[in-house]
Amino acid sequence: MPSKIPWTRLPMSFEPARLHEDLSRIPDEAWTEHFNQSDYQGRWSSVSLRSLSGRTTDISAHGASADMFQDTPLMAECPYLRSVVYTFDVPLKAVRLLRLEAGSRVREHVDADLGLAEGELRVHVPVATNDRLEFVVANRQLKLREGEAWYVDFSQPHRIYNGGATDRIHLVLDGQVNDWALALLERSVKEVVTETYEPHGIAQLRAFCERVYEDAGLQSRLEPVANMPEFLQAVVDAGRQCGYSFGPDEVESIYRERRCEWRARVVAQ
Amino acid sequence: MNLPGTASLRGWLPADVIAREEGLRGLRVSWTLRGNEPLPAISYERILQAQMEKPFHQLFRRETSLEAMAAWVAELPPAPLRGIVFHTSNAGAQELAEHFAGRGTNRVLIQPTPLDTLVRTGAQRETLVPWLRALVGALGQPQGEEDALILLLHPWHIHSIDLFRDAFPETPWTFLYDEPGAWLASTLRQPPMWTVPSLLPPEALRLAWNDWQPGRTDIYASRALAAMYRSALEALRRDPHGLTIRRSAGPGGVFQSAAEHFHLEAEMPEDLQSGEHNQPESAPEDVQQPGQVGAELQSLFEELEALRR
Repeated sequence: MPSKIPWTRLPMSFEPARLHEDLSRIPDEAWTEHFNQSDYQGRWSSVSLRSLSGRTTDISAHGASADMFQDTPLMAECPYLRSVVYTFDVPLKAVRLLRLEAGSRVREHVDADLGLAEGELRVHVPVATNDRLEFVVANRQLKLREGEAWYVDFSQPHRIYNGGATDRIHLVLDGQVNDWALALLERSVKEVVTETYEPHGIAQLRAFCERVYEDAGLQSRLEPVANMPEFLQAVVDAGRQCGYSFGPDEVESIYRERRCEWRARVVAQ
Repeated sequence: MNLPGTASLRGWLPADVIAREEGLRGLRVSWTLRGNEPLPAISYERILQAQMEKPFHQLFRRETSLEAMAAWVAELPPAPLRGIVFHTSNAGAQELAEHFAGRGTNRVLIQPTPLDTLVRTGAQRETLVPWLRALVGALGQPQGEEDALILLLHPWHIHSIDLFRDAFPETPWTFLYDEPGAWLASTLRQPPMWTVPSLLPPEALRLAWNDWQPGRTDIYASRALAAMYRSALEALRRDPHGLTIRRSAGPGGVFQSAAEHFHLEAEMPEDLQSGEHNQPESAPEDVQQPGQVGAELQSLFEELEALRR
């Protein structure tokens, strides 16, 4: 098992035009709204090319071995998507198209059961996206472009915001880790350049933190606020007044990161 | 991270020393804002945990290098460190700390976590000494009208006494100890975390993994105590600044001895003056120190007693 790989672009590229063509074959009514509505804001839906029941509307992904999954009729109707999926020589579990509509966001969360250590491989192939799409994993922005293929360890905190005017649609395939997958990941880490960026809001928040360290007035304003939602808003407001632009999601994300770090200490008494 | 200006770390206390990268170069100091809030006479870690309940203190922790901490401390008046307490039991040390803190112009630092983290990096003494001084300087930064800072350490720090002597050669220190039977009874009643090898590596106690057996905390603890006694004896024989104090002297006697040794006014806090204090419990007869360890412990204890007299 390789040491932890947080993410890597994979050494494959697919043809965006052919991906779009298959996408256009899928009727609107085939898409199902995501079941856990507390996870997102806006509109987030899926359609399955491979599922437990074999139905396209069955969008659950977890909890069974690959041999229990079956292709849905959509897989045969989308030959190029099918060829993309079967490029991956792994026992396949769920294969879905995930659609996050313009202006929508998936809240930060972890998928604890999706790490390599659990034998899980989740690959994203962007089918349609835009340049205002924020795909943030462990507070690093990944730029996933149409036709690329990416592995990401989703047991890390991640959130997605579609700040653009068009829908973001990814082909997401889940597979069981095998030697082929491990070799692919190892090769990718060695040979493929994977760039990440600091999200603008995170950079602004970090700069605002530096300001707070030096400013007794900001300290006395923010320190007493014990209630979390009020605290998040107070930090956002104070930041804005000082000329920094970031949202409550970003504050909460950095807060959680730092709190996890604090709690992870082993202190002998 | 930009190097903070000299004035800007006032009111910030080191929360811990963390390893951002491997090796000593990767160590950083994480600071938390305390402002003018005095430190109560409880363990530093408990103070921090209470502080971290507020979201501000989770989000707004800042980091500097050890060098930046040392540079800032160099600009401060030296911390008024008047005494260091080594001991074998948290309960006894806590009692002593409360009595010192009860006298208005004293400040006590009880087992500050960043100090333990630094000591247990295992770095060379020459490297650690200036950092240790800087850390105590930062922890003891001027707060008000306190004129005396007393530092209480973790039980295993007696094994690093040479480091503390190098860092603070003129500071008087005491070794507060107990009769082994009483100590074992108290320790087994509420075993502290250090009796669990996965929480504190046995090396810190000058023990090895095979000193621990499941279900025999008494043996592990007794071996740990013997090692502490040995380190204390070695140090006491070499260093005229050390003083042994036995807990059975009662809290009043303990406080008086320590206060005199630290050249502080030994004016007894009221609750000790009246004599209405609890004597430490004597060992129930059925708690025996295990076998051979017990014999060695008794012998070491008697050597300590001889030094005390």
